[in-house]
Amino acid sequence: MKRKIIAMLLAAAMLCVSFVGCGSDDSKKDVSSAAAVQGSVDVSNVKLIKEGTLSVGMEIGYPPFEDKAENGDPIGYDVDLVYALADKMGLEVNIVDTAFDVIFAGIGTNYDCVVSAVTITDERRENCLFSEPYIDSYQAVVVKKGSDIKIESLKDLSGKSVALQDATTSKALLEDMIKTGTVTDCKMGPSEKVLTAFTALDNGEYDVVLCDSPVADTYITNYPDKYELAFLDKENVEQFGVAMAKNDVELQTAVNEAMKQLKEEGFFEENTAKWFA
Amino acid sequence: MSMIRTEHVSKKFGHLEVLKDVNLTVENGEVICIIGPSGAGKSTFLRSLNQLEVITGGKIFIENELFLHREHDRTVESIDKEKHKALMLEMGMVFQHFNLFPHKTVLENLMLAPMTVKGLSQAEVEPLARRLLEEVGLSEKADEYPSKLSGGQKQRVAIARALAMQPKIMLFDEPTSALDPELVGEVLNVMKKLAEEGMTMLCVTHEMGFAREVADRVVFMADGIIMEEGKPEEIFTNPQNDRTKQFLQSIL
Amino acid sequence: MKNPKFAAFFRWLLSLFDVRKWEKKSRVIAVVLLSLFVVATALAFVKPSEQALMDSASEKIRAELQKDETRSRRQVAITYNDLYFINYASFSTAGVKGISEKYVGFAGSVHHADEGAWNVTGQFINYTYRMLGCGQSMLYGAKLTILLTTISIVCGLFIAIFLALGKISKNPLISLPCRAYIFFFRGTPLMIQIFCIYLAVPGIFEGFSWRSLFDSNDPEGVFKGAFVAACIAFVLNSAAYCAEIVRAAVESIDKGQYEAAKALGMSYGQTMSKIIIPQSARRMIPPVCNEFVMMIKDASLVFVIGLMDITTISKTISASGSYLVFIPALVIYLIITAFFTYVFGKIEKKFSVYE
Repeated sequence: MKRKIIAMLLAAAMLCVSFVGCGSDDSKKDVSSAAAVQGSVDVSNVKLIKEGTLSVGMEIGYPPFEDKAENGDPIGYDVDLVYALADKMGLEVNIVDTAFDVIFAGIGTNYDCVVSAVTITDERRENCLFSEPYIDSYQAVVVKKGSDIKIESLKDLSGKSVALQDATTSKALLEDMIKTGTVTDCKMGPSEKVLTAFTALDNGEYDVVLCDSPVADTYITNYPDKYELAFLDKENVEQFGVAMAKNDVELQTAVNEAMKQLKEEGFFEENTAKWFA
Repeated sequence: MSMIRTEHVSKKFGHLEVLKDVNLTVENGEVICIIGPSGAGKSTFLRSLNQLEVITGGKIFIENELFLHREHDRTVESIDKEKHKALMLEMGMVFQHFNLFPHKTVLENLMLAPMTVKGLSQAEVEPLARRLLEEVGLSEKADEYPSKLSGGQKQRVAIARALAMQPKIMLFDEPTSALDPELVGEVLNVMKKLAEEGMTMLCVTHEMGFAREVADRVVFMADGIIMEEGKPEEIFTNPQNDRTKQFLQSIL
Repeated sequence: MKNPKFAAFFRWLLSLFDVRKWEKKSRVIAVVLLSLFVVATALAFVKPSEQALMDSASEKIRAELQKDETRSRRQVAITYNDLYFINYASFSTAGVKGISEKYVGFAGSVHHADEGAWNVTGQFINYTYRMLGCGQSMLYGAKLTILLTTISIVCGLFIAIFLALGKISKNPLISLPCRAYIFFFRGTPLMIQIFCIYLAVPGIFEGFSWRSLFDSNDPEGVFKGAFVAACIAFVLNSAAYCAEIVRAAVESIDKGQYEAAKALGMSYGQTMSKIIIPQSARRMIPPVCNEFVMMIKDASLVFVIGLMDITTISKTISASGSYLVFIPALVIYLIITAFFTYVFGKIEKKFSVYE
């Protein structure tokens, strides 16, 4: 009998918690809709897929930029950035989880813009507009802890097997380097998720992982006994930006304006400290 | 010497009692025809002799050696496996629907079992197989597939196939029932020839003419028991049992 | 060559080369193929050399090529395909937009292929070349697809026979594990099975990696290792599917066949191997062929462990190039499927001679 009562109490408590959870969600929305009135960036001439909402394409699964919290909510550097931008523009946020290899195809139909650790490249610039860059990233080479592989420059990837994520700049870079003969005899294994690449490295299938430096930092910080950084390509900086439809100049202007304000407020330093500490 | 002896053989399919206390002795060289209405248990009896059906109770002796002893659906006395197999091979069987192996040629059908079961080489088996085919009058069909043969030819091949194992007893389960009437004769002729050679034969048949002419003894079965047995002329001209009379009247 | 069956098989093989016995249609096809081969060989002698293609490059490209000698990251990418009688070369600059030149060499002359029909031709040649896996890793493209599906259907079918017989078995100690196996592998996605075998197995067995199956100096080792893992997953999976096909075929065989075999004193194993399986083989072929064709398409799932089949390669090319790439991909698939359907048809015919 006693047990039953405890069980019921527990259940009731859980219900309460979940209600409170919903409640706090609601209050969040209230804040953002309240901000809608006070949005410091004018978005009246921006055409959005859904009125009053910034729809964002994002591949959730690239920590620390985008990740899933225990309860399934998207979290990460980019997620915080998106909420901050939307706050400035007085909009609500709708995150659309999309696989990275098809993410650019959905701009303008499924979402207004893509914030998903997108490196600004000339190739991508042909098909979409980019905001000002919001973070610098380098190509990083990660090896298994205690490995005797020495990488002094990207050329040293010659003769190595390299795991990386499909459709990333890392892959495009390595493909180019293979094609142009910068590296020779290099075996490239693209996988759908960056996690697969790191697991395969840990299992000893591949020699190295090639990825963006923030991602490398996260994995090395989280698993210091498994991975270590072998090389950081400081010569060639890559910059992440918000990608928008080719003709969506209005949104680009608005995003850039919002970013400028955030920069002045020191948001980026704060966010970097939060996610890359 | 008795080739087959059964004592109190019974068989149940669930609650249906198909065989009740069947006792039969088959002497060496004897030809026995089992007749009776459908559902009498004739085929079941024949099939239980070589274990295609497992009897519920009773004893079966082959060549005076215990082959199977079961009571209440359990084997009571276990028999040495090798010996059991050897006794099993003493019996050859011919089915109503021939059951030839369609993916083998006629000759291969004859040679398969001697080669796999007895482990003989092709060279040892082939002369016997060809001789048997000649005996059933089908030597020119040796390399045909069964699908190219008529029903009568198939059944003759089936008989030759059973003989290729050189059994001492032949069991025939309605060998002519699935044949067109004009093909029945050729099969019966082969069987007749076999009987004349002194083979011990046990036939379930509806061919009363054959039974009368060839059989040494006719067994009349009905309702799972042997109602009457005796010389063909006794059974056919002067049946004692009412069921036999009734049956013979209905078919003649 | 004492075994008469082997001798018969050998004779059959020899008879395949006996042109006089061929059907007229096959003879026509053979003549066409042979003449194509002769023409191709002739063309190969007058084909433009790699040097000729390089020489057609513009001043701009050559200047870039020279600069590349000193750069830490090279800029000009040269694709040069040495197909037997057609050459295709392209220069493109990595990262830097603007300079891109393509050439198709055919029968001795070099065509500028930056636009128009020559461009399409050149692209098709180049894409096809990549998807077939020419000049690339052992396990790329069409080679991977064909190898993987053939291995998995052959080994899978072999295992499937035992699984099917096990499932039919009246002994629950045998039938239950077989049932469970079939249920598991049919009830879970192939992609996750590939994942589990490739990633989880080395995780469970400390120190084991698929790559370690091969010489550590073998540069292809990483792909060969992944290929072995993929093969195991495909074999295990196709065994489960084929087991149901085998079971259906075995159960469709007339009961009289079992009785005849038993009456002749044959054991269970002999009955199965000599009577039942050979007869059910013919009935298995159409559904197995179907399964095989499905698997050719399923082979693209290996992309999750970094291997590239035709689909993955064509997707990769299309991401940086043109959607035209899917046309040669479709054609390659059709050719593979047509070839295997033809082979299965022949096998079926061979098995059904007795009908």
